[in-house]
Amino acid sequence: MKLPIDWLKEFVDFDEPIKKVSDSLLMSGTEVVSFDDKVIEVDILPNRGDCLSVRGIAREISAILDKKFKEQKINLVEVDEEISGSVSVEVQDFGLCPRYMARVIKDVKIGESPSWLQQRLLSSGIRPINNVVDITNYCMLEFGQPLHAFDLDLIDGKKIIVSKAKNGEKVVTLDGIERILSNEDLIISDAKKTVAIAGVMGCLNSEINPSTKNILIESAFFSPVSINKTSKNLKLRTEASIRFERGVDFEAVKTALDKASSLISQLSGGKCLKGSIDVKKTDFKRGKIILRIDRIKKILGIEVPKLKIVKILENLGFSVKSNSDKFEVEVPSWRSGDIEREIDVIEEIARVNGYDVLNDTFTFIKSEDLDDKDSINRLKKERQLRHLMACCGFYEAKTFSMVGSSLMAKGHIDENSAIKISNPLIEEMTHLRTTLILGLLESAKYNFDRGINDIAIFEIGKVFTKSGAKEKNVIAGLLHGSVQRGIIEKDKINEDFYFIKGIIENIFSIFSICCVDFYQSSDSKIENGLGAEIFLSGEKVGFFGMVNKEISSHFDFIKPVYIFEIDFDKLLDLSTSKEINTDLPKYPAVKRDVAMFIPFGVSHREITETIFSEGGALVEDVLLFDRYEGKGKTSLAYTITYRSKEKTLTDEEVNFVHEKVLSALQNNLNVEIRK
Amino acid sequence: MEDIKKIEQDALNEINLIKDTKSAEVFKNKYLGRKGLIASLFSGLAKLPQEEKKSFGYQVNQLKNLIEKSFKDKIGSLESSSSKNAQKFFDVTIPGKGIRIGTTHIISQVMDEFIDIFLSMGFVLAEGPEIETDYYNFEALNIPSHHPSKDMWSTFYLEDGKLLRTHTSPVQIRFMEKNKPPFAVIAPGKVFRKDAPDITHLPVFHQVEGLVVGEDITMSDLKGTLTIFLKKMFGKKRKVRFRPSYFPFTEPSAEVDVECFICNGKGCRSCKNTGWLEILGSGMVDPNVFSAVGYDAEKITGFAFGAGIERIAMLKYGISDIRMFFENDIRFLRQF
Repeated sequence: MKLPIDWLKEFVDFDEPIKKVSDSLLMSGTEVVSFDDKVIEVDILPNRGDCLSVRGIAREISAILDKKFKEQKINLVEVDEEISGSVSVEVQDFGLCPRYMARVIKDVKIGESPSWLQQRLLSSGIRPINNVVDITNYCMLEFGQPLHAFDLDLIDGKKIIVSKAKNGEKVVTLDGIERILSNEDLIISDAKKTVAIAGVMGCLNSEINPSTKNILIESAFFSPVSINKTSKNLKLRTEASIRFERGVDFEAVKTALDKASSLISQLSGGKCLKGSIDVKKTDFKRGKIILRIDRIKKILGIEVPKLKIVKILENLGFSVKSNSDKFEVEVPSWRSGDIEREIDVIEEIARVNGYDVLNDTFTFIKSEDLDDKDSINRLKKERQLRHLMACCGFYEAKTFSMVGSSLMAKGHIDENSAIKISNPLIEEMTHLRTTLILGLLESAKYNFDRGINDIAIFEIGKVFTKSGAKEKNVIAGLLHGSVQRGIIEKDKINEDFYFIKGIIENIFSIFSICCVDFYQSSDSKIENGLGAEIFLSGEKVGFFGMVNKEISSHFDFIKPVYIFEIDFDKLLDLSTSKEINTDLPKYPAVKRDVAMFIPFGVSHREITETIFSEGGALVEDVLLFDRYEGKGKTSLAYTITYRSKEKTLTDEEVNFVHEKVLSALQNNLNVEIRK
Repeated sequence: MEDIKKIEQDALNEINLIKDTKSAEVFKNKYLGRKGLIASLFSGLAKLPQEEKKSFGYQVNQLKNLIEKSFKDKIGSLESSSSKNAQKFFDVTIPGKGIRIGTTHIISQVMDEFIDIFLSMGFVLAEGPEIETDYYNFEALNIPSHHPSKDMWSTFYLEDGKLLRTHTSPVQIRFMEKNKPPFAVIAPGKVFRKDAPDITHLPVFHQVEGLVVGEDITMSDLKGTLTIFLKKMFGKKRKVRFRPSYFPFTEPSAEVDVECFICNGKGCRSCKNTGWLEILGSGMVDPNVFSAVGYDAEKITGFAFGAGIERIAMLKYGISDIRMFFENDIRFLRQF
């Protein structure tokens, strides 16, 4: 809001430089956007509707500079004719309209406003229209009370009704736009038609025009909630609606109306009829609050001198009755909306007194009774995971938690498994993600489209499903190209697959989980057979593999794309504390290498299981050190480490076990031992 | 006789000065060459009387042996040092092998920094769900339904009537329901606003929320605690200021500004020429919030604060477009 400084000075005398005034306003809660010698522009806090006015800001200045606020007298001259003969008002819903006032001025001459008035409006950012409309705007700026002027001769039946609109009702507002109302919107109508959307904008059908003679000025208190709703539904924010939705001053409904009427009769030659219409259910009573002095210290941590408290409150328009250890504070009508409790009054004292005078203290809270072990553990593991991934060459990505139907379709994700957003922002964000993979695929494409071929990214975050645990943390990664530096040895078969598997094994070791099972995947996201599902004690915790070529082609990738996703929460649940073995081997180990051709379909797991089960306690380790495929045959070579805990093994003892292992491999798995 | 002594002296001196093959050649010619000094001593031998011949010859021979040996040693040491220089060429400039390192996200890094400072100050850590109810996100935080103040947060609603939390503040409520004061807790997390992405807005971003509650917690504690944090985060010389603000769940409320670390408070684009950057929202917990969790607001007081991580990262690293954090352009990510 823009405020001409000479206007402010009508209400409070000050000669402090504007820079100082604006700094003080900022440090007491009114943000100053800009200022020069003539105009100061402020942004008000949402709870301070009273500051959307010259008087409101003048009162703030009065409080922070400790200068008296100057009230102004209104000289309203009325003629003998009574208003009651001209119009009547009926309010159907006092909840939505607690007070409705009106005055009638006859024989006005519509014309231009005097230049001082036009100038003030222009400095405040409002375009002058004609004397009557300008004066209603002028009084709105001065009091924060929106007023509306109707051409009385266009009001049918000399009657004003405040009621709810009919559903689907159409009106044309002053801006010439047709608007459709709902039965939640409050309207002003006459005997025949709707003449205004209450508190938002008047209608064209009763507008002040060059031939207008007699006018009705409306001044009302409309319910903030109702005006907010209507303004939102119609997507129409006006100077009036932003004031009503913050709550106007119940008492200024009358003073602003009187001031406007007096200005109109002075500046347009009109005659103000005797009396005003004032429809309200109850009289307004100023609220009273007990303020305990010791409570101020309890909240702020400092003492504020009693005299200072009184000064601050009185400058802000409160009246204060002092007792020994408490004050009785009466709240001015323009603050009735935001000051209802003791704490609200304490805030007024704190902000005007300044936060800079508060102490800087620190209270250390002993938290031995608070258990955040789980949260800390999760944080630790998450950080470990992040650093592991970075060390594996991956960049951490952050993707949106929302995805759209087309992306889900591209990535073979069933839309029906995802939670829908009922008011989505854009069609790319209609559902909550069920996997991080889609976001990673999109991010990979973003990079790929910019000429980056080596893409390794990961994310840790929540995914959401309709059923079961609604949200869970997962870690997912994507690899396109290579993370190698230096000269890359090409064409190693399935190098990337086993690289990703290696990372997954490292992830499990962070959680001290060793018994992980991998089963070939049949997931439709995964290229036929080139993927695995990851199981922990019989429960699926993730998957990895090469992305199905069809999905990959949707994103235009040229190289195979590998992905993985693992349930982070499950890993936390299943993670074990590390067992530390201090009983290190005393006796030497004996190593035997064995190479074999394996029949098609026999897996590494079957071989190691056979070696361990046949070799028994003497087998310490089985290490695969070579794999070779060619001429339709696959060869695997292992080093088996034998060791006893009790003694040094002799050659014969090792040979005996080793032979047993070899014959089991030959007999059970049909491998061909290479000599 | 004097000749021999002098030649010996000179030769030994000059040997020390030999640096390369060229100076070695010069030396060799001067002393050991066919017309060199030793040779001329030998040729002088003929002219000597017989009785002197034997002893003089002996001495010249001795001198010759000495110079030859010293010269040979010198050449040897020269060769061995030059052969070090001429070591077989090996290109050490070829890139190293292995995995080039990745990075953690800058948002994670700033978040970690934030959390660690508070953990070091005795705060405990809490978490909460991203899908929230209207009660935890608004009502319990003194934001009644249909109240215009709800417009401060544009909210995503889900098909089942729940919503995506618009701030980390619901964690305050969940924590207070389960714990008794006193406590100091910090809650980091992702939050959601129905804001179209532009250079300063994202529908998804990160916040850290803090809450300190006890019987004697005052606004001076708020000021002291947050000042410690901000000085640790942005440098101990940075000025900090607290100014009044409005949040429905705190009263009195304070916006916390840090002296602009881009222009050092002189005024620049990032601080909109004010010299200050808005970093934290904070305030004394509103009594209505305490009532919602069954605390006695007469006895219990506390303060809460929250900050947007993306904003801090933008300011810290001079990033002008918030969307870069979610674009995941590797050329951006790898710099952190």
